[in-house]
Amino acid sequence: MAIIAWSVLVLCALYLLQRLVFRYVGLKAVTYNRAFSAVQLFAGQTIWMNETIANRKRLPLPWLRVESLLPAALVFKHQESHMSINRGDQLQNHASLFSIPAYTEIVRKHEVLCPHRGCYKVASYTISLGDIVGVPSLVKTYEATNELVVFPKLVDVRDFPQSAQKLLQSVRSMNNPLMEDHYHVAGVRPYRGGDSFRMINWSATAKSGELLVHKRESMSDNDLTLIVNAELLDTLHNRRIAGETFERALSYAASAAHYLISGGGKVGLVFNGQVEGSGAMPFRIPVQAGTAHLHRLLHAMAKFEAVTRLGLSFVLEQLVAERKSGVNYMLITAFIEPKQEELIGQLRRGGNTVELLLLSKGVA
Amino acid sequence: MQTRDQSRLFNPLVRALMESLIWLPVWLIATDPYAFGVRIAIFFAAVGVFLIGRSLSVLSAVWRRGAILLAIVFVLAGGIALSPNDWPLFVWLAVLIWRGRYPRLGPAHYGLAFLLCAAGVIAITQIPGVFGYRTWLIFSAIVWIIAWFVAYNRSLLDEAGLRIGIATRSVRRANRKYLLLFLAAGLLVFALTARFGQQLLTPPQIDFEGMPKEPDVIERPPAMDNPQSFLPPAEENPWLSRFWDILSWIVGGLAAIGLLWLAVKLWRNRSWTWRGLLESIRKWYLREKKFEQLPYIEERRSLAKDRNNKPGLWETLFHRQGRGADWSRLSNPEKVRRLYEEAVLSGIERGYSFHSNHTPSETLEAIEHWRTDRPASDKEAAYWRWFRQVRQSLLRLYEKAKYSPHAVTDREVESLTESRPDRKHP
Repeated sequence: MAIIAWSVLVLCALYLLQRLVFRYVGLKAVTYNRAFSAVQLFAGQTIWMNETIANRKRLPLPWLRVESLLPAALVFKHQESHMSINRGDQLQNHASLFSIPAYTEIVRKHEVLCPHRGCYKVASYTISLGDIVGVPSLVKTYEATNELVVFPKLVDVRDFPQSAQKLLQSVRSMNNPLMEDHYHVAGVRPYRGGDSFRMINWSATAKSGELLVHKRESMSDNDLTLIVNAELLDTLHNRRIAGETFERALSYAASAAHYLISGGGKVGLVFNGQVEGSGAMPFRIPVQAGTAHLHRLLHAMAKFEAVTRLGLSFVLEQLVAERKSGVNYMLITAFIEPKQEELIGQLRRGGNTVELLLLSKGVA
Repeated sequence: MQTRDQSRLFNPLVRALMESLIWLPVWLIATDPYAFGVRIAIFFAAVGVFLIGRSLSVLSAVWRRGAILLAIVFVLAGGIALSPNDWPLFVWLAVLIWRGRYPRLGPAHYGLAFLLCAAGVIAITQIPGVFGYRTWLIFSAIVWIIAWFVAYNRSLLDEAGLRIGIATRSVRRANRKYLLLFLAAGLLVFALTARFGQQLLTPPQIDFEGMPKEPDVIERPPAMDNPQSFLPPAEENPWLSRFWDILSWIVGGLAAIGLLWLAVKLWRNRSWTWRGLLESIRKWYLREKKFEQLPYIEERRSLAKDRNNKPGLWETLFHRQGRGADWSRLSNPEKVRRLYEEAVLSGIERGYSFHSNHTPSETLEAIEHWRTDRPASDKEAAYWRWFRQVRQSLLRLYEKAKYSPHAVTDREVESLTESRPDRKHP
């Protein structure tokens, strides 16, 4: 009897001892990092989510679980049924279980599909640690700063409606990249055969070690202002437009911007809906060129919400009131009202080009 | 299809075998007074009623409960009506019917097995007929407690994996390994301290010999202390003895056949060597494990290199630590800058006042001037002698490492370090 009691006591003492060790030393010298292979991508593309965990001490960790709430819009390609639990509309719980020997680093790569546009953040993750018997001994929550921006899906220009396609091609063809005729310098670009030596930016060349020349603005009117309508409630026909239509509108806007800017053109944007982190009404990005500007546009579009902050009619009235001429507008909307048609007519009469890209057929 | 049929037949039989192993101590103790043939019959009856209980579990929930209840009542009522003195046996059989509802063994079942064995170890001290099984029961208790730990660990791991299948095979294997190490450590500690523990937990014996005897107490006759001494000594059951003899002969025969088969195999293939044999065992042990389909890509990297670069506990406590990263991990420009840094820090540690507005050239020159008239130990003198020798080249290489785009070669670094006195860096 005494021997049985002693064996139980010995096991209990050892168990408590190892539990204390794991509780106080378990997470020391343990580092965890979660990173995406790309911080921005277009909807429909795939990225890798890399989890790197390292145990830099002599004590092995029998099991260690990392849990985090990820946006539900991120789809794990090979483990939908296993890894994603409590998958709701907004968030899903993602968990990974590791067993890490002493002085070992483990990298896990999950293939993630991003089907939907948006700006996704992972704010925190929770680490749970098990002791040598397997009983959970320690739980800690850490802050994370992972951010993933998914731009709207790009569509080919040939998939645009015929009239919009014509406008885009005509606007793009106005620009001749070899005829930089403006006196304003817009930046630097690599030297091309035929460039005058007077155009060389010697300071930039010395700093970079590469021959760079001044890049000048073009005087041609190769700019386009995109107007995206956030309204989903067609009061005239008493119907509600589906959210997918709004996503399609953004796809068209992003594709038009990408097409023009990659061809050397300039694009601006007007949006009458809510933008995460911005209080402007309507939200406007002035007409500019360059890759950085394209990224700015796409970033903004990733944060667009289909919540109207200012009616399209008011936006058009503002544009009319600006009395600009020679501007190319592309209005992307699900429906159009008679009053808005009238305002578009006023813009056209003011010497502007207004292309209407209607997403719901048979309404206008 | 055939495999599924086989498993349908095989699984209940394995489960019945495990259940009989769990209840073996109960069977041994409860059937001790009976003849050998009756004991065997009770054993098979127990297996039979368990299989009946198991087969009833295929029914739907309501029918299953009703049928199990009916079977229990039938066994209890029938058994007690037939033989009222043997009611504990029939209660046990009723329990076995009820346990047929568990298709798999979990931690609780292994815990029950351990408790039955532990209780059996205590109980058999009072039953001389089965005292010979004590060692076997202790061994069984150890096996069951290990099985309980493994099953408990498995269930905890399932919970850690949130019961959604993220606990992979490698994670389970690693956890089992750590658990077995823990149990081995526990057994070792227990083996080393068992004598002490027994002394500690055994109540002290009172010495009645030294106490004065009361004259009016009538002493009992010594034979009354052990009433069983009036009985004739218990004879060993000849059937049981014969059974064990046969069993041992069968096991011995099988072992002999196995050895013979191995000897024949080795004789036919006489090209084997001990080294080859060990190599094949090693290969078998290190064979490629069955590939597990994982929903992600996993890569492992050893950080043992980092461990080797860190000072141990002994060095941390008793030896002065070097500054910065390990020498062997530095690039050539970093090595040159390290030598420069060490020279400046050595001067500062010995009293040189550093001027941040000095160029490296001025700093090294000022250190050399400052060192000129100061006494130093042999080791320090050797260091500063080396410093004077290499000062110009150290400065040139430092400027090259810090300001020039040209690479510092191995040869240049060696030219600095080869005559260095303490040879701290290779």
